[in-house]
Amino acid sequence: MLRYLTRRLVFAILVVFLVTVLTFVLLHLLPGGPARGILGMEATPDQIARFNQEKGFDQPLYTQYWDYLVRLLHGDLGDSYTKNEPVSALLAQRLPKTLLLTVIYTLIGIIIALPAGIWQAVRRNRAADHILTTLSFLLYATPVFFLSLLLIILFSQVLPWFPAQAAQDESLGSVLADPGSLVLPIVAGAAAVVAAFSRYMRSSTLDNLAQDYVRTARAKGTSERRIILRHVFRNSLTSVVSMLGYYIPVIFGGALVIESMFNYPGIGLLFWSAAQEQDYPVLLGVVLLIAVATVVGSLLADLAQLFIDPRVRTAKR
Amino acid sequence: MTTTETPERARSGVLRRLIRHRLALTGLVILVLMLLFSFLGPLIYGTDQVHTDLGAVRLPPGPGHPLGTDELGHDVLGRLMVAGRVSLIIGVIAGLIGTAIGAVWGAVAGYSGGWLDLVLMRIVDTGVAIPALFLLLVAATLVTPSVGILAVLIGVVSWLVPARLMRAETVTIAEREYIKALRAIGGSRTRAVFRHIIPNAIGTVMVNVTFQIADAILLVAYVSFLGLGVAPPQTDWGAMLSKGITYTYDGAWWLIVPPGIAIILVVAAFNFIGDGLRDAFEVRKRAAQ
Repeated sequence: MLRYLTRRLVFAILVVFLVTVLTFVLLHLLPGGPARGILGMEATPDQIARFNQEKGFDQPLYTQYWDYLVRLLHGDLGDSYTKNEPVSALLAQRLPKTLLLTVIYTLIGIIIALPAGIWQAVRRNRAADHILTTLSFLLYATPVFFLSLLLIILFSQVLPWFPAQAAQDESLGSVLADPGSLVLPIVAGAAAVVAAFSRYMRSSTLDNLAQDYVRTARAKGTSERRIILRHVFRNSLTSVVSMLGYYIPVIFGGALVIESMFNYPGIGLLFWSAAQEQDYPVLLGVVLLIAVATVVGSLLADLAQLFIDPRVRTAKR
Repeated sequence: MTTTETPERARSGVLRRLIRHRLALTGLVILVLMLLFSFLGPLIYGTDQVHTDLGAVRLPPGPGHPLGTDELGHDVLGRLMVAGRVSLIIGVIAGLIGTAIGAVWGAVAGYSGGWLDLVLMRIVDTGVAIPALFLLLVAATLVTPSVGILAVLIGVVSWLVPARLMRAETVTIAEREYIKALRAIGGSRTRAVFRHIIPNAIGTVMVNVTFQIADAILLVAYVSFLGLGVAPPQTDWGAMLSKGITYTYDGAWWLIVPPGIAIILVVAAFNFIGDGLRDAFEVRKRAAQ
């Protein structure tokens, strides 16, 4: 088990290292490099040379990469080209809001998807399963922005129940003070999570229902209800936990679209406006943040699985 | 599972295959219709999608314009056809590119094993950690996207799932006798991968192609929606939606509902087909064992 953990940790560090190489290379591929970005398009070659010398951009690449890594480890992600603020400060300001939104809609989505998937598996190939299967495919095929748009038209214009825009303030408190503005973004996000997880839960439950332990439990006269709730559900849950870790990039991808649809001031909207303004330090800072979150998330998911599921513990000794 | 094969169960099995099949069939019919609509449609229903007609801006659906006109006076029905062409072409090419890269990558990793496998698969992990949409937006700030460039970009960011699938398949195949025999007589790695591993593992990967294409079409829509898609006068369904949003507050539903439904139909169709293919394939696999 210790060997497995060490191996897993080394892999995680390796992946984070590769991500930093990628962001570093991208930052250097950019037209004109960071100097153009900061000094603007009118900068003379002379000014650029001086800037590059001051910032160490004329050093060999490996020296620069090392400096970049050292700065990253100190939490320094560089400064935004357009906002005159360190990227880390921007991220720290926006991240809580994105987390608030994504955690709520992911939880709601999972709470709906789990029973739906199990129910589909139990009623497999009956009408209800086919209807839900078709629905979940249609939901999966619906771009989140189109769904958001329909929600805005229906529940903000036709029926003026909820605002179509989030509270525009820098503090988390202002978002919380206006919970009505969170309703539509949460519904849109939760729908996307339901589409992905109910399919997954259905097939995972089907796999579990075919296992020997279910047959044994049935042979011993355990009620179907108890088999599903006590045995199959718990077993499927472990696979959902491990999937959640890998699902983090998808959740952030959804947040990017939902935040730009509802003008919700989180990481996604920050990224989107940075893309319009070609603010590369911000773009790459967000990419790095999400990548690290994913690596840490999947590591935690694997660890959680070790604790929930004794079989994994023995198998991976 | 109750082990006795009651008549009722047998019937539901037939029914199941029929309905399963029916879902795939529905998908196929939708797809063919959408292909005809996008590629043959413009030949039958000719409209000017290049020049603006400021005298006929944002007309609601009516005679002459079955789905109305957009903010530049283009006929929406005709626009839906040419936009569909772009979305479908990019989706299919990107899906194939992603699958091709992934298949070779996964086969090489799985067949080589050892440190090469380890490094190649960690690169896949790295790719998985970065959402494709974010990478595409960064890339779209660097180049001006055209149909070809978008297809390649989306293909290049969507090779991860095929790579993992292919590796898993390869590891199983590499254990078989004929591959061992090939190694014993000193066959080269390249030959093993391209002549034996890939052709034998391709089934699983090909089933996945339909899902790859579906996801690629969604990605194109997302990229265009975020304002970084193909440049005008070309357009795709995502870009049409993106433009239409400005006018939803004026009640111009015909600018957003048709492209939205087109995306849903095509993406769902590919998923239906993929689901049917996967079921059929799994049945065959089980029978072979």
